[in-house]
Amino acid sequence: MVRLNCVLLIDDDEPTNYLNEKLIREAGCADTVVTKESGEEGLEYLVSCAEGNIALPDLIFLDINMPAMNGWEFLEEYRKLDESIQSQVLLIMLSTSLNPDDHKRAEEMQEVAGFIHKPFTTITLEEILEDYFKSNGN
Amino acid sequence: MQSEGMNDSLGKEDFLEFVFKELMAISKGTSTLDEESFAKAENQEQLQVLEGLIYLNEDLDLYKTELNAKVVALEKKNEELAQFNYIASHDLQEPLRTVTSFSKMLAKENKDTLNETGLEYLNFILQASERMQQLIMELLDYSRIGRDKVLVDIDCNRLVELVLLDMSAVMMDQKAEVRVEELPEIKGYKTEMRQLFQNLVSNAIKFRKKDSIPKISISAERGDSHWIFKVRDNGIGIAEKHKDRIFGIFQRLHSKKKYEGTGIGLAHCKKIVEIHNGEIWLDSELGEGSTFYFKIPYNY
Repeated sequence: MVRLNCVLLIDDDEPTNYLNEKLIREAGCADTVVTKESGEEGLEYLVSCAEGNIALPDLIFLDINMPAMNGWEFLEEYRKLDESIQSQVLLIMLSTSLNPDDHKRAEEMQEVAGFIHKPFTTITLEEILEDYFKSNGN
Repeated sequence: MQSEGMNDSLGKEDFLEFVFKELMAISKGTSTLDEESFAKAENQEQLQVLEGLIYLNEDLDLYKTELNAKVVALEKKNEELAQFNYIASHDLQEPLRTVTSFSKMLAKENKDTLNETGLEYLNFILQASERMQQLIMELLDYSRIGRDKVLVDIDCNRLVELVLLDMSAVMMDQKAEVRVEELPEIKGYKTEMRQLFQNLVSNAIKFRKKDSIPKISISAERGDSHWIFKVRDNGIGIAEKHKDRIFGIFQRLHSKKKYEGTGIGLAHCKKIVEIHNGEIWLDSELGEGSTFYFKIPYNY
C-alpha cells in the first residue's frame, strides 16, 4: 500500500474533518493528517511548511463552501504560491456540491487534480492513491 | 361603419383625428381597425398609414398574448417555488426530529455504558441536527417574507425606537451608542421593515471591533423618487470582494466559532428591501466600519 507523508484536510465543518481524518488514519496511508478549518489557515500552513523546511503535504482535500475564503478563493491564492510548492502537492476538491458547474470549473483548473463528492469513503481514498501515487513507488 | 354617400374618405384633418383615435384604441387594446377601414383613406399615403396601424395592432396583440402567457407561467413557477420551500422545510423537519430525539435518548439512557468516543460522536450528531433545525427554520422564515402582508403607513422613527427598545439588553451589555436622526414616514410592510432595522443594528453590534464601543447612526435622505436610509457602524468592516456575497443565503465570512449564526440575516434584509421595490448596498473598508444603505420608493 502507498504511504504518504502528510495529508492536509481543509474544511470549515469540524465533524467532517473529524470523520475524514479518522478515515485516513485508519486506512494507514499517511504518517500525519493535518486539518485546517478555513482557506486562510490552510494557506498559512502551506507557507509555514515551505518556510520552515517542513515537508509539504502530498495530498490536499479542499472543501468549496467555506466562510470568507471559499475553495475557489483559496485556489486563487494557492496559484500565487511558489511553484515548487504546487509541484509537490496534489490537490483534490472534496465537496457536497452536486452542481455540474462546480465540477466543470474544477476540471478547468490546472491546480485541481480531481473532484470528489462527500461523503469521503475508504474506496475513494484507495482509488486516489492508486491513480495518483502508485507509480511513484515507495 | 357609417356610410356617408359613395365615398367614405375623410378630409385631411378628420383623417388625422381618426388616426389619433385609432392609436389610442390600439394602445388600450380596443381597436376594431380592419380592411374595411381602408375606405377612409383618400390617397395612397393615407392608405399606407392605415395598413401600418393594422400591422401595429396585430403585432401588439401578439406581444400581449405572449407576455400574458409568460406572466402566467412565472406566477405558477413562483407559487411552485414558494410551495417547494415550505413543504421541503416542513417535511425535512420530521426525520430530523427523529434523529435529534433518538440521539438525546441515547445520550441520556446510555451515558454510563458509552465510552468517551461514543459520547463525542453523539455530540456531533446532536450539534449537527440542532444546526440543521436552525437552518430549516430560517429558510422557512425567508420564504415567508412578504407573504400575505398588508401595506401600511410606517413612522420609521417609532419603528426604530421599538427595535432599539427590543435590543436594549444587548445594547447595554455592549455599551452601544446609537444615534437616530429624523426618519421619514413610508409605506411598507411593518413586520418586515422592523426586521430589516433589527438585523442591520444587531449586525452592527455583533461585528463590533474588539476593545471599542459600538457606535451606530441611523439616518435617511430624500432621493428623486425614494428615501435612502443609512445605517452606519464603526465595526470590523467588510472586504470589497465580499460585498455581494454577504447578501446570499447562508453566506458567512467568519467561522462559526468566531461569530455564531447561520448567515441568513442580510439575505433577509435584501429580500425585505426588494419586496418594497428597493435596493440595498454597502460602503465599507476592512477595519473601518460599514455603512449599509437601502432605498425605499416614496410611492410603493
